[in-house]
Amino acid sequence: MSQWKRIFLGVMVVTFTMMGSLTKSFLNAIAFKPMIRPLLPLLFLGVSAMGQIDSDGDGLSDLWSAQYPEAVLTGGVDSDGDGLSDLEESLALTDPTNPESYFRAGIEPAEDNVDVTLSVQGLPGQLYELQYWNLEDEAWTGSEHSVIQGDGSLIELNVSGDASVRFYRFAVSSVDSDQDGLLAWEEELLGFSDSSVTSSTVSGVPDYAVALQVLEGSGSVLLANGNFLQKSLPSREEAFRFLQQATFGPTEEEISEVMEIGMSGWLNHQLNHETMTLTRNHWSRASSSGVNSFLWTMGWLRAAMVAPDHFRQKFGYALSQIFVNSNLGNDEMRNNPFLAADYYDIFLEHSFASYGDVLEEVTFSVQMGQYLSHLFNQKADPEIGRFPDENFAREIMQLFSIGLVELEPNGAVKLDGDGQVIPTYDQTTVTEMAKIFTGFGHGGPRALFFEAGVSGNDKRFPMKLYDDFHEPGEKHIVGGVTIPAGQTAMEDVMQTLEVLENHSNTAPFMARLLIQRLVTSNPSPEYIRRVSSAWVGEGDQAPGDFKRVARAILLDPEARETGKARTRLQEPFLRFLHLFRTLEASNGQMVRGTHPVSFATALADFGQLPMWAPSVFNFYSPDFSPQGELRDAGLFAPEFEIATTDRLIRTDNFLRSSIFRWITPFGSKVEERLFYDLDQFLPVASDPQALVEAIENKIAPGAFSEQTKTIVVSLLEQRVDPDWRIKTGVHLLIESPDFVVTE
Amino acid sequence: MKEINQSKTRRAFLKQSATLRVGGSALLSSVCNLRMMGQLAAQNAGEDEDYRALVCLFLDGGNDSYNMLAPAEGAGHDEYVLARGNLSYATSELLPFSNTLPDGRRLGLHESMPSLKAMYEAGDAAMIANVGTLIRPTTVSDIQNGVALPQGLFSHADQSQHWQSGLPQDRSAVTGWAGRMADILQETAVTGQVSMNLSFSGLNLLQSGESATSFGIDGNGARQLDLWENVSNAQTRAAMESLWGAEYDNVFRRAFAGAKSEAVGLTSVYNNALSAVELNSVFSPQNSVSINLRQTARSIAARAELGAKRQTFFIEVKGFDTHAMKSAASSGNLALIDTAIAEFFAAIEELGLKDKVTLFTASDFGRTLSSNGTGSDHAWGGNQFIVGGAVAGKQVFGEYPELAPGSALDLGRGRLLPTTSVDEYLADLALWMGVSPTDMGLVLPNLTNFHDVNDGPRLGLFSQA
Repeated sequence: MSQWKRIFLGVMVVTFTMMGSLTKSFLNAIAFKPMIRPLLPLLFLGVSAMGQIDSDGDGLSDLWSAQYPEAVLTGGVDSDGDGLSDLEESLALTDPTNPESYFRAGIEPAEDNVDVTLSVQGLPGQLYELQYWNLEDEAWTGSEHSVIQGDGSLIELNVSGDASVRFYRFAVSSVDSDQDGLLAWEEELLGFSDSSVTSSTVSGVPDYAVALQVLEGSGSVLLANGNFLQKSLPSREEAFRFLQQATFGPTEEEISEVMEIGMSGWLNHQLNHETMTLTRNHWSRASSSGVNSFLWTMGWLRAAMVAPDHFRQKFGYALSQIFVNSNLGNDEMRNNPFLAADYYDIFLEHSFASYGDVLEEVTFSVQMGQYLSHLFNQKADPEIGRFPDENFAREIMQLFSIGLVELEPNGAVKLDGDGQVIPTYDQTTVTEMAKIFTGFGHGGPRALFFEAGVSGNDKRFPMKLYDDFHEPGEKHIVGGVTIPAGQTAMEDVMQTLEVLENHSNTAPFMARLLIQRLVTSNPSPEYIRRVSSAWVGEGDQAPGDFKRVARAILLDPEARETGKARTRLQEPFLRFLHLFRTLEASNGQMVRGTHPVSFATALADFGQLPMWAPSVFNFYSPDFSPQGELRDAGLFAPEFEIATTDRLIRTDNFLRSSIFRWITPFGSKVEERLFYDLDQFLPVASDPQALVEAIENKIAPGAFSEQTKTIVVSLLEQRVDPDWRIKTGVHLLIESPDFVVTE
Repeated sequence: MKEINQSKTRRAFLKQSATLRVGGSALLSSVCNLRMMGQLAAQNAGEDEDYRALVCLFLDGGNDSYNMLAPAEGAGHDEYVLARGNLSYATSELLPFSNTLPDGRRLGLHESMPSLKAMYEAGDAAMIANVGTLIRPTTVSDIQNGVALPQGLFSHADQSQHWQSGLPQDRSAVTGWAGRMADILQETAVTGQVSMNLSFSGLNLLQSGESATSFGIDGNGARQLDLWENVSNAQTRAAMESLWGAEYDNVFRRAFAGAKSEAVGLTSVYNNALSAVELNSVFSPQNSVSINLRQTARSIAARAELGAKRQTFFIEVKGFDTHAMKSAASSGNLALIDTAIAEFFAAIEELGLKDKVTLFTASDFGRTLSSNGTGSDHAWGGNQFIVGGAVAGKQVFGEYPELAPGSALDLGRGRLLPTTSVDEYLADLALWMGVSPTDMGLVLPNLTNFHDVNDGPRLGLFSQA
């Protein structure tokens, strides 16, 4: 029926409007006369942060681009010469390689020969709206017709034919109703649904992560529209950024692997990698060197440098900043670093198991019993004024599971009818919870009675519960749950842990803390909700499965899209590790990184060192916001809490010295000094521009603005000494705001 | 990064110096301005100068203070020996005071503190007995009736936080009493850029206020970027300043650039202010407490250059958690402190500020009177001391408790319920620094549970108001 007219003006207007809960990207095509062109709003191109899968940040849906593997598609270019740029075609879902395929409207007289029928080809998952130019308002206005859902058939609409002159256009919009980072049409193509974050066949894993896996997977997937989807792998920049989140610093081997098998493939390997425990590392060294508190740091660093389970090490470190135990408040642990390693091993051995496993291990750990004093905690004896110690009871709620106030699944604070926050517990709850955690004594074969002390490495055995020293009676614990009287201590404890594990706060509370450690200081509510939902799982999946959670965190649109959404200040200690790994520190005698290193002043210089937090509240609060612009904008920035005047300077001095001189291992033997591999830059040192780019490529490809690079290049041009150029270049770049704050 | 410059005066000053900014010379112009301000301030200096400083020696780990200040003779000493068993010192190891308590007991200091003893006798030092964290006046029966007690009793982290925050009911306090005091005083008392709160322990709870923060120094001054002062690095320095001064779209990058630039700038301001200080008094070079107190004295000497009429100093001394040792006297820690304090006040006298500077101690908690075999464990109430020309010396404030096992205050194992609260102790210090009774609620919110400060100081620690 229709006579397609190519009356399109080559002008697209992309706007973003909120309609109901829909995020819409409107694409508008004009029917009729070229003369109306001057009336159009200015061309505005852009893509919403929410929505399509676009891990390379080119503004084009990766799912769309990967259907045309032969073409080199670029947003502003019109590859097929049909008048529509590649970006415009990606929004209309037309073929960018076929000049006959473009977004166009049809017009013909209606059957009554009075009205006019306007038509457009509807595509599944897309929304279409007819608009007209309102001469009085001088604005495009929605017609009397409502928005129409595309389903693959032609959309036809009749408009009055007796009006004098009217200009119409169709607007097409893409939606992401479930806010999972995939547009409805993308989900349609993949066979997912736009009504749920986890609608793929991979249970409990968010759709975006699954889509990424499909894209990075082994090629030629048949889409619902009949096209084949070719493999799409990350660029070096994106692989690097991903590894910066997932490891202590991207090494060349890991970058190559990610570029070869994709981020999802790499993560799968890592999630199924054998555990390399810190205790084992530590033992080998401790046996020859005697015991002192630096052995802990040495063992830890060795694992951070050489362990092939890179992601486990990073995730475990994140967990250690949540279930905080510290050498600073735990003499036993400080004096026997084996015990520190043993505690930390909880996070390595259970990092890809479940939250519940970790919570249980931590609860029964002697080191935690000593740190938060539930070891030897016993039932009340009011006669002598003794009541159960509340230390652990409070912190397990406040810090290790549910937090202080009731949360929505997206992490937003719940309010009651009066607009007040709702505390998750009060002092009475703490007192009752304290009764649960009574009766803990030492474990292991040599602990024969409640108050038995054990020595040395026997403190690695989980604590035992002694019913005689456990508070009897009913306990009214958190969440309004009553633990019945007459149970064993073990039953009381395990039921309580289960209550915490299943509390509605646990998923969003923990999700936010983990995202902050791995990706961004300020995850959006949608991001938290997606990770929460992966945490909760589907059907009879156990909550807090860390494999699911890890995928949800790292393979989320907010983690994968470039830009400010994933901003944070790097932890100063991790900034050092990043250099250590990316610049391949070595001493030329041992194989890179196989030697343990430590450094006596690191804690003072960085304000942090694994398991050396000043208190159970970690190095910084997740809610810390420094005075000034960040606080005014309502942004959290935990790492700024330790960026004090003296530390900012000491960190700079430490890092500069590590570049200009060397890294001094603990013990400071000359032959153990470590040097970054700076010689690799010698061939380009004669050209400051090339030198800066070479350094950038190694330490943070794509991270530096032209402005930053220009400042550094101009400085390097001042002297010709290659050694000075290389070292000064590295120093200025790693202390530049572009590097210190990641995007 | 906390903003250092809070008062309107200093904001105005900063604004003014900002207008002088040309390229990378912002720092230089600030320093020039400060020097000018310093000279102005110096014209007002003198004996009757309006200046006061509080120096906090925080004895980390819980000083076994019933072995620092103990009954030194007779029945009192017998009771002490009974309570402390193998931890007790003989009368010959104690330096008895020339005066006695109202109840007739004669106390003395451990023999490793002869200088403190001399200052006590000279009326320049006083003791405060059985102080500890409390929310409100509390008796043993109150405890049995479930009265609200400080969070995390007997825990280092909690109790040292409470001493600093003055908010023992709150485990997540983010401000300390000296920080809140600075919020109030800094406006008029400080015209320079550097905070009136100087810390030898970096950022700390005690000196963090709503807006005030601390400036971190160490025994050698404020640590500056290694490359900064060397003229051969001038180009590098200019490039770094360009990086900090550049435009950034990302607010985190702006915040980092600002914080780093400010850190380097303030460090130069502080170090320049101290560059002309000449102090002849001798400090022991091997004594870490002496080294920090020397830098404290130098910072006080530079008060005019720093534009500070009020200053606080936070010095932590480690090594008091004597689970496996008779007391910190045995490790020589008390001797180190004793020597350092004597050297410090000699320097303060050299500066002519004896009545303007007060040093006081704080510590996590007292320790169990009873022995665990080799040492003592965490307890509650303990003894502190205060030194300075303005102190109403040669007195023991508060109530020195009975030490006999099972005494009225003994909560078991010789854990003594405090009879003077931390607030009552600190309130006198805050008043002396110039906090008005009306503002006291902001500094020490719990004080009203113990004392109406409109009636004057609670303990009367100072002979001069």
